Amino acid sequence: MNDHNQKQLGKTLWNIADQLRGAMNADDFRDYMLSFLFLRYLSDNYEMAAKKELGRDYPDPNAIGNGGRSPLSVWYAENPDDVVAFEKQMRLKAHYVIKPEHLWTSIAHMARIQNDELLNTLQAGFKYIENESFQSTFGGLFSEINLSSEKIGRTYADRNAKLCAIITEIAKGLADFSSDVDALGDAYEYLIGQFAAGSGKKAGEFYTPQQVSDILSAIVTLDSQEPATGKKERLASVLDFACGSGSLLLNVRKRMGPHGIGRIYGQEKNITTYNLARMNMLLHGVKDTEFEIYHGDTLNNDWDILRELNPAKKPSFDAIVANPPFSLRWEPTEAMGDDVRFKNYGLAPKSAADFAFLLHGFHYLKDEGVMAIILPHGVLFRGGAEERIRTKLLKDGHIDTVIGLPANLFYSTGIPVCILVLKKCKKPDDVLLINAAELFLKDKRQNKLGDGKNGTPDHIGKIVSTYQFRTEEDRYSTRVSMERIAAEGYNLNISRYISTAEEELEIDLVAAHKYLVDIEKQVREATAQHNTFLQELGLPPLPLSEG
Amino acid sequence: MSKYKTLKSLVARLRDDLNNPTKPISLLLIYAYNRTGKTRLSMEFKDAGKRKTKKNLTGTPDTLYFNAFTEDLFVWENDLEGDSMRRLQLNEKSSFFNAMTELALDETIAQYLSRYADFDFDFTYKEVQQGNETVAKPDFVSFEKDGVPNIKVSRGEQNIFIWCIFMAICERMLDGHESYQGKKYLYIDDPISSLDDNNAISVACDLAKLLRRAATRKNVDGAPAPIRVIFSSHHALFFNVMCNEVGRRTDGEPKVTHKRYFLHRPNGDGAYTLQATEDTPFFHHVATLAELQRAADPEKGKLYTFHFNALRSVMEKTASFFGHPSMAFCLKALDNEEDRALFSRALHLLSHGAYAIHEPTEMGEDNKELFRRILREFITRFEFALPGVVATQSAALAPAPAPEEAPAQ
Repeated sequence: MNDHNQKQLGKTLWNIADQLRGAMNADDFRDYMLSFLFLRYLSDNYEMAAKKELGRDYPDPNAIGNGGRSPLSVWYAENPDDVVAFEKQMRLKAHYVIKPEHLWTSIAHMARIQNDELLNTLQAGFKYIENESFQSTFGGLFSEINLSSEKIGRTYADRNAKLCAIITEIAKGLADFSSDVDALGDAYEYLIGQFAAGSGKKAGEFYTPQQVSDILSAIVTLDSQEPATGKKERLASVLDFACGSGSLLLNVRKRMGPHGIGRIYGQEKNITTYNLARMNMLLHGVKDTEFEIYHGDTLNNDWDILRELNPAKKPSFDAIVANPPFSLRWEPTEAMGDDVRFKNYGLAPKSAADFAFLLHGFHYLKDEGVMAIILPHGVLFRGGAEERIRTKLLKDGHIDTVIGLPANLFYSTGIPVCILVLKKCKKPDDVLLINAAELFLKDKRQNKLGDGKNGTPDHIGKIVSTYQFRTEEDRYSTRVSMERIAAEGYNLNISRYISTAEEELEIDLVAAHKYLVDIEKQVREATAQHNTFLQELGLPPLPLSEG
Repeated sequence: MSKYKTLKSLVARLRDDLNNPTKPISLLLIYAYNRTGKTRLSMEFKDAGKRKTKKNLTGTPDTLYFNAFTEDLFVWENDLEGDSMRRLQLNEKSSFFNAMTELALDETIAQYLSRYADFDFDFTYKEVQQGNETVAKPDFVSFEKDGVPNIKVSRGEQNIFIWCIFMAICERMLDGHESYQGKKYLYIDDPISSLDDNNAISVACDLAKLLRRAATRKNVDGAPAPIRVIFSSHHALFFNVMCNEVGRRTDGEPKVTHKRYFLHRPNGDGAYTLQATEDTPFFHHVATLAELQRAADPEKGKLYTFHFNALRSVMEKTASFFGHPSMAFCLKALDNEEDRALFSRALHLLSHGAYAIHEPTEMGEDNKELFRRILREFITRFEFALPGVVATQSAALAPAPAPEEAPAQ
């Protein structure tokens, strides 16, 4: 599926969302819509595997006797004794099982004929997928999808009718598009982006714009010690401790290839978003055994595996990426001061958890790993506790690169942000500063970064290659010695080190004089010529300036 | 009652109140009619806090304030030429916006705003040269509603938006954010000059919550580090809700020490009188009554269930003024047995504090009638002299006079 089709699919779905959501707010509708998309993906994938498994025994989908039923329903009805063995086999091959009546084809069929049982069937289907489809648990995957919500309708009949309408539209919209994994996954991605853009500040929180995500994943997949040597062969593990819908992790995976990463780890506090992330992984063809997404609070370190006390078993990651909520208010307790994550650096202030997030991630970074995190510019220069943490990180040689990005890249806020690249061990003893704040494309509400495609300048490539080769360029990038940084009081405000002030143009007075004299001469000639015409017409001439 | 010849001496008195070493007051609530000089008082208070003294050698301002001057930090740009890029321009010179520069406050602002209004906003930043470096400062805000960008919002919406910025900043100041270190006082003057009553009530509740936090604030080491607060208003209902909310004892929360004043300028000359209203007649309660009477007006008024609450509060104060422990005293004075029963039932049904306040609902016709009857009898029986106040009140409804002094900073 090419770029154009993908966009088309996304747009089709977005239009359906726009038409059908009625009085429902966009966030709520997003969750319904994405769940249906997810169901359709699981179903297609499953049916394909079933077809392969059953070979010639797979019933003809267009057979007249089916009466609109899905081929698998037909097969189940005809071979009741073989069902157990079949499902066992499917668990091995596809990793999961879906009952024929819960398959998207069946559900869409029920919607088309406006079957009264649609809602009940759908509900049972979601429950089955959560609890029994997969070996490993997917408990609560649809917990935020309340099919009996008043938002869809007042009575069962109302709700059933509304769902019929929504599902029929989606089925129609999807019919023209192929069901290959990436297409649906990308459509899912597109929708998440659209919803983030369309529903105000609060919903935009968890969304990392694709281009920023591209930069982060490019950085952490390059060789950590010698980025100039290019991309790593393999990452054993990657972590995003504030993973949102998981798109940043998926972007890293995309860059490494489907077999380039050992295991993907993500943590998310918001339960709806956490469920989105799990669906997003599956939708992009990541097997349930290849990732682990945990629902919990990063700052409290809710995740058991991260609290391993035995230092030999302490988890650590090759690559860490994160776009945590900016300057989140948090409530550090006294005990937090002794927390291994913060002990050596100090606690981030109550008014902004930025450094708490950073230190959390950094604690779990492998000695030869790379971490790239997006934070507001303020972390580069704020005083107090943050200044102390920053100073310690700099003195210990952990801050490798600072990239200043343009303002207004995010939906949640227009504040300018930066990327910090951190390493436990780094070779160069200077800090690379990149001022990428001035290179961007203006878009309606948001600024964008060019990626070199469709005739745009390659802002993203420039940032990545500057990091990769640690190049210096006037007004854009510089390598700053630790002595200089110390002299600046460990203030990292990029404008202190890279001047972007426009040089004033020198005016050549002689040339300017000549230019003005020439203009004056042209005026006089033009006026004189014009006057000859006026004279011929017997009209009074224009006055000539004194010369 | 105390008299003050100048604003300066009045400010000295207020600062003394807040700094009283033996009996510290964390919160002053001042009621004053419009045109008494509230805004000028707040400016004088702020200026007193940045004079160079022995204690404050650098002249660092010690007050974060919200008043008409703060609202003036925002100026509408209507884009008369293109008639499309309408936006609210921010005065970049103000240190008020420091936290905007350093922290992403958008979400906090959006959370507050979603409680009062339903439009979206976008801050645009610009780089400003400061010494040898550049710093991003908020440049302007544009508004959006139902997908339509760059809309003009009403004056009331604009003010509530600015108020939400203030609340967000306040929050960070109470958290001890670097940019507002050294601030000891919060001065809030009439935050609701163009709000309707619904928003007035919810703003008052949110604000009271914040002020409680200010009064009971602790520093990093857990030692008390309160921010002292002065709050002034001409809006009787708003003031009354504030008094109730702040005075209410809440389980598990420490009591907030506060004082209530009625500020007056009897002859319109330079002299001010400041009257503590705990132990002398409750001026603001008289004003509340006047407000209630306006609401009860069958033609122009609008009665909400929370008005029962306000009426009860005045009745309780009246009873205690006469030395009686409960408002049963006032109810007894109403000679109709049936009304008495009805009224206490109405109070119990309709005045479930937070619920009634957060979601104001209009009274049913029967309750309206009941309310009017009780109010009328109460006012007659206790011979409240309302007319004068009512006159002043209607004057107070006129828009606040434009601030006369130097531009805000």
